[in-house]
Amino acid sequence: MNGLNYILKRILQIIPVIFIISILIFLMLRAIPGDPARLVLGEKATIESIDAMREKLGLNESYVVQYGKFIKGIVSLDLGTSLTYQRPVIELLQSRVKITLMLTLISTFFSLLISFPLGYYAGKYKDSVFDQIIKSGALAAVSMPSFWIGLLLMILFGVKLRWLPVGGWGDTFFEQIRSLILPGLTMSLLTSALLIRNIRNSVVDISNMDYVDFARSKGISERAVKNRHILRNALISTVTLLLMRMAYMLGGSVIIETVFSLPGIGKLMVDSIFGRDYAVVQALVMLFAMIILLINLLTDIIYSFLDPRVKF
Amino acid sequence: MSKKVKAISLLMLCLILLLTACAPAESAAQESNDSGEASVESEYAKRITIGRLGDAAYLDPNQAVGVAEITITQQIYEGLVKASEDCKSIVPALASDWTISKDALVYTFNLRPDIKFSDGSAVTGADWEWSLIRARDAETSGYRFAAEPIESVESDGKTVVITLKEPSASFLGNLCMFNLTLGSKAHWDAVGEQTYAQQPLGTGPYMLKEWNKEENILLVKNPYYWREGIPFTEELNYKVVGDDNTRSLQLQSGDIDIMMDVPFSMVSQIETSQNVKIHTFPSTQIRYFILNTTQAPLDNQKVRQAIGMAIDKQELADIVTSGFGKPAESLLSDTQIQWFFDDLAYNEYDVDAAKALLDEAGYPDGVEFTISVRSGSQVYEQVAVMLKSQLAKAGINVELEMLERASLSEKYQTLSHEATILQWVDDFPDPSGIMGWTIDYDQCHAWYTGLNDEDLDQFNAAANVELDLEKRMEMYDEIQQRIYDNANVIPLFSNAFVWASSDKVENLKVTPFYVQITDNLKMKK
Repeated sequence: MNGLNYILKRILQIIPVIFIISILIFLMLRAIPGDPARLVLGEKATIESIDAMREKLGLNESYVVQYGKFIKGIVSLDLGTSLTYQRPVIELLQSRVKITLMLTLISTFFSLLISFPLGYYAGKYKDSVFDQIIKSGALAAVSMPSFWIGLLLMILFGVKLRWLPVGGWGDTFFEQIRSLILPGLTMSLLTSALLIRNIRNSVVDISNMDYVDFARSKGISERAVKNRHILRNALISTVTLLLMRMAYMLGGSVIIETVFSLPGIGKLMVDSIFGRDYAVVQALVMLFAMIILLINLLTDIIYSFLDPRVKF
Repeated sequence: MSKKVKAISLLMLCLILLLTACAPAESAAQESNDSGEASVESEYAKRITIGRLGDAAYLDPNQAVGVAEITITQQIYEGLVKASEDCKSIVPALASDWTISKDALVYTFNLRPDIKFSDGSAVTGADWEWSLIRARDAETSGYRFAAEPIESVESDGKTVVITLKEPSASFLGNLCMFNLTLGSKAHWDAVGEQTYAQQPLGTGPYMLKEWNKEENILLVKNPYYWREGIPFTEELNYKVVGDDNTRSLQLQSGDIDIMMDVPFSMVSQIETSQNVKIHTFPSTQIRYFILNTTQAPLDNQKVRQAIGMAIDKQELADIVTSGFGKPAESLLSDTQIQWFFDDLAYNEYDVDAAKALLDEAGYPDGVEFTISVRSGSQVYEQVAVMLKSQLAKAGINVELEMLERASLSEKYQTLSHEATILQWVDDFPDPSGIMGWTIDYDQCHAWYTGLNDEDLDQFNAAANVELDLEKRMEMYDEIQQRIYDNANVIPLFSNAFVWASSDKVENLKVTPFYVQITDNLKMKK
């Protein structure tokens, strides 16, 4: 019950934060130079057409009126019309959010698949050759630019071996999964490297703890020691890191999406900022803010399950 | 746990192998060439996939359009006339012939009979009246100037009679523009403005079949197209691949068949890959150095001329365009042959003369200014860096400022920039487009240079209504010279359009106005 109260309290705390973010993004967008109407009409537009366009878009109204419309839109889930695409923002987001979500999930899956075994064994056999290789590999993965890794993977699997499509997005579910393997793998490398280091260090620290020695001295099998004591405790800090990375990935990686020509929300965000597409940027920022706040909340809840010492 | 992990890993590995091993059905089909009997039908592919930089925002020729939109609308919509493939003349399109009244105010076009929209509905006179007037009055169009001369349009379905407010020598050329095309009024009435822009309906060789935003636009042959046997290829799939490297890899892997807009620097690398060829097309594209004459020291004509003399255009063209370009002196592209001024008096590249001219202008110690360039464009950034090093030799110190599009356009509007680099591609076979843009102060402060040369402005307006062709050509020669002497817009180099394709692709054509001619575009299986 206490837990439920805590969650409710946390959700209520989100509201003022969202409100402040909405004011900030609204004002920041309008503070940067650049006239949306001119950008839509292109270079060869006359002053008259630009004025007509500004009127049509409601850009000549006062900020108070514009902000009021924006908030009203959020509350009624009508996020307005995209300036660049002349379509409802909601419609624009639907297909793109799906792609970014799938990419994030596949990437998370790869990250877990790569980092848990490697991180655990690197920590278990600290300072061994294996550990050194893994440490260097993780360092390399963090240092290499992702667009370059992406291009290398495309050349190998797409052009040379022809196993996977070179970027793009498929029509069927099966094709879509195939087209997400390379970007997912590219995106997961950085997360994997961070997780590996984190898991390795946790495993090293925890293995030296008294309670692990105590568990062993009780005659518990090595497997149980590993699962119940070492891995479970190593999970605590790893979960935070992984969820934060997921939040970041849900924001869409512009670089990955551009290199693999995936129409996700990262690229939409950047294009919309460049195009001064206020409605889309506002909607996306609000969406990211919600995601980050919810993931924070989720992290705390998961924490309480993993670590009995945490009490609400 | 570790056994579980191993088992799961193994399972996943199998799954990944399974996914990667399953090549898509199309490429498998392409590889099987045991076609038995080789009829013409089976010899060529049903679909050609074209990789391009960005997606269209909407497909309405009367709303503001960029190159991403124009490329597609030109396959879907047609006008009364169009530019010939070499862009040197005006040829019939939906009109079979036309007459122009003596006072040059009334244009009467005879229409081809039995033209239908791609949904099978017949074209009516109301469609013509609505389309042309909409091109003039659509508030959201950045290209209204092309339809501005129109006073009224009347059509009985067999002819279209356009009456102008005043004579316009370029009007027939204007009618070749992508926004003066025929749309269906009935369709617009039925679906409304927003949907109309998403579901185009025209009389062109192709019609829209499917549009996945930011992914692809699939065009399919218009079954009611009035030209027998055209287009040859059933489907054109325009795929969005924003990254240049990815686009070229997709071409090499066979994911796309044609690559639009090959960066000059990538040509040699693409040429070495198997089964791929490079295509170059003459173009009207020129890059210009734009100097803001409202800012000192660029308000001094001699300083501007000195800057022009201190630029080694040959070196610029060689390096930036990897040999696909050549220096330009006249504002107008030499692809517009009859309008291009062959005898333009221009200054050769000469650093010492530039220094002497600066001295004469009262700047013996040289000058300083900033070039604001749009970031993210390889060509612009390269040009800016080279200009900086070339101008330094003549004692002209240049700062570079990279800005994104919106901030830059804000600077242009307020004339708060000093110098910038821009480009132009002509839209119709007449010089009035770029001349108006460069001279007319009201359009955009004389192409963001702030030079209000009223005398030249009046002379240009007179050239626009001069109906005697010979005389008009002479006038434009003089205008080209005067713009050169003003040196507020300094042409740097012209370049070809460069595309690449699979070597199975035949009849790939792009006009100097960047129109893709798809009539006989085909690809062997």
